[in-house]
Amino acid sequence: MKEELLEKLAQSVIDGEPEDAAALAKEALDQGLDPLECITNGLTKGIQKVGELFADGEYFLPELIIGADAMKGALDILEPALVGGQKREVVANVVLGTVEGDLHEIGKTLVGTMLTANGFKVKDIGVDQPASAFVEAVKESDATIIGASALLTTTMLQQEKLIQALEEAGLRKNVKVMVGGAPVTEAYAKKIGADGYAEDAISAVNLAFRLADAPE
Amino acid sequence: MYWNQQPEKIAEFVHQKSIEILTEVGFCAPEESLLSRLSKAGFIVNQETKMVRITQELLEAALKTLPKDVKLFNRAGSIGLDFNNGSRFMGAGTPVNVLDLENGERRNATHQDVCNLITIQDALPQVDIVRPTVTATDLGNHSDLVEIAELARRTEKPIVHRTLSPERVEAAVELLAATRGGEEALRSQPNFATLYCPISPGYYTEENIQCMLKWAEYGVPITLLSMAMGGASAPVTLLGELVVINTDILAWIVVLQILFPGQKLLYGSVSSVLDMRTGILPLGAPERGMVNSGAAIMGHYYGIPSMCGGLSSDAKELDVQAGFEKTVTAVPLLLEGASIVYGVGSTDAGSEISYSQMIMDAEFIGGLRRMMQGISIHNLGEEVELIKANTPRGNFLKAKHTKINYAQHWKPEFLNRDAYETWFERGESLESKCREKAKRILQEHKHAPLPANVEAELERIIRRFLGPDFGFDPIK
Repeated sequence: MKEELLEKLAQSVIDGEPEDAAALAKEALDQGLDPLECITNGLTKGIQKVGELFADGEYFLPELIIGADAMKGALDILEPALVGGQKREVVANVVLGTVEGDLHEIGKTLVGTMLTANGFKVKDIGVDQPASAFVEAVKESDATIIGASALLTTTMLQQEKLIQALEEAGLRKNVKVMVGGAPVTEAYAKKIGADGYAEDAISAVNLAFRLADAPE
Repeated sequence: MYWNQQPEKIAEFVHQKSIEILTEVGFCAPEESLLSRLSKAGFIVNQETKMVRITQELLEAALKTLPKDVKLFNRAGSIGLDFNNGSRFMGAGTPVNVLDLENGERRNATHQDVCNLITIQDALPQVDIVRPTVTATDLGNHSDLVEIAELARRTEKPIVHRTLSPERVEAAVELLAATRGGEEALRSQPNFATLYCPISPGYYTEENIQCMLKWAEYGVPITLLSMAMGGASAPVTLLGELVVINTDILAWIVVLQILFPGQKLLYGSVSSVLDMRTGILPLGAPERGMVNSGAAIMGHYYGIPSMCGGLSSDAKELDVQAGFEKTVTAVPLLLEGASIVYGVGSTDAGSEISYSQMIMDAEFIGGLRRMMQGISIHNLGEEVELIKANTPRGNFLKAKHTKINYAQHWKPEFLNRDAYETWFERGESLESKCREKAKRILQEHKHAPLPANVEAELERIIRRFLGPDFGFDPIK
């Protein structure tokens, strides 16, 4: 019974069925299953399989995104039920956002999904976020990585401001900053003192693993 | 015919769906003063959500005042580009990177590149409309005005650009008007059009709205340039994406016509579909040409020029991928009669402009234009007599008819037709030939100069707005 439910949880992520995943998470809690086990042996297994299928070229972004969505829906139910010192194992905490003056959402969200699918815990603070909002979010979430997106030549300058704000807040040495967005380049990232630049969502994940000093 | 339906039928269908969306849901216009103007004008405005809905009456009034004979002129105002006689080609733009002319390496583009690339477009007869094509990153936030001034100085061809903020529009108009002998010429025979992109679906930023309203005060043509991403910011099906493109554009056709009746507008789309592996927006995808050919259809339907993204690629160098993608994204636009094909010089999903690609694109345009001529039916009297006289085994190369008529065949400048050994011995790559040509143009080509007093006036305007350190001519 327990094994079957864990398998179903995994499958709901693989199939990308957010409603099923949420319902199964509730059912698991009702039946008294350990929420941490549901996460580790259910959801995480599912999302790992999704990642494999993506790497094999069988899955594409839509399957990946809806799979991560299913996982997130179930996590929202399971995580609050964790007891005592129980904690979901994550690669690293990441704060993600689009910089001030920039309303572009899709690329940033895609990176968030890919990171989630790879075991990171992502706090997405949204678009048009001033440096101070990133700083606050880092303080609140113990994040060790920041991802800052900018899609306009005019707003990429805010990525530099963000790094300055982290310095001023005394947080710069606690967090790695990765930057991305269409006009951003490796050279620009270096120039503004960022820790890394990624051209697309897949390389962003590899970069985050490197920055977290974790095996990819 | 390229779509599997009559273009008018597709257009009518898409138009009706847009009306449904604009009357039921509307669009978001996050600009306070505009919202109250729209509310007074009869739009249904929700001040809280900043959502605006249109009515059937507003739509009808707007389509009545929408000018149907929009042309872009040369700097003298004497020749208007004819959009009814085949597609026109325009430089791409405006990334922050360029592939270097000497070594092909990617680097930040500069003021110097802007000048060079304008000069090359000015020299290439295949390019009809000139853009800065890159952003002068060494000018920081002041690039827009200098770029507009350089366009106005360095070419007589029609030019297209935008300002980064509404405060700059006044300065830009001053610059442009100075080269035209006043604002009236800019309005009545515009040699300049601007362009602004919505964030689809249904959103323009406050700044872009303010820019458009400002340009409209001067009556300068505005391109409503959709940049939808099928599967991300629009439905994944091309017809569904076309509805998003059209809805975003139609919304602002109505807004701008109601507030500025008779405002000249262009119908633009540089859309594509999201690449579901990398998450980038590929500009060499067949779908890019396909969906933007839909924009050409809609432009015809509303009777305004269409500016359509194509002749583009995701290739990183001048290679077989570039050749295929440039062609496959241009052909649908040509078949549907796009007024302007927007893409000359662009490469790597629009992330860079390449000098050698720009030269090669001119070559492609020549071949594509020839292809689009099709085979026309004409009186075959002469040919039939010639065939009779030469049957059997005659030689048509000796015929006068051949000498008179062979000019209609396209003759490539760079694509190689040499015999293998000749080709092998010469050992020239397309890339090196294109670079040489670009360098030759930069050495030899002289643009038509402005009178000295106008040049001085442009420099004064630039300095007045940007400060004494700004001026022209990284090279004279």
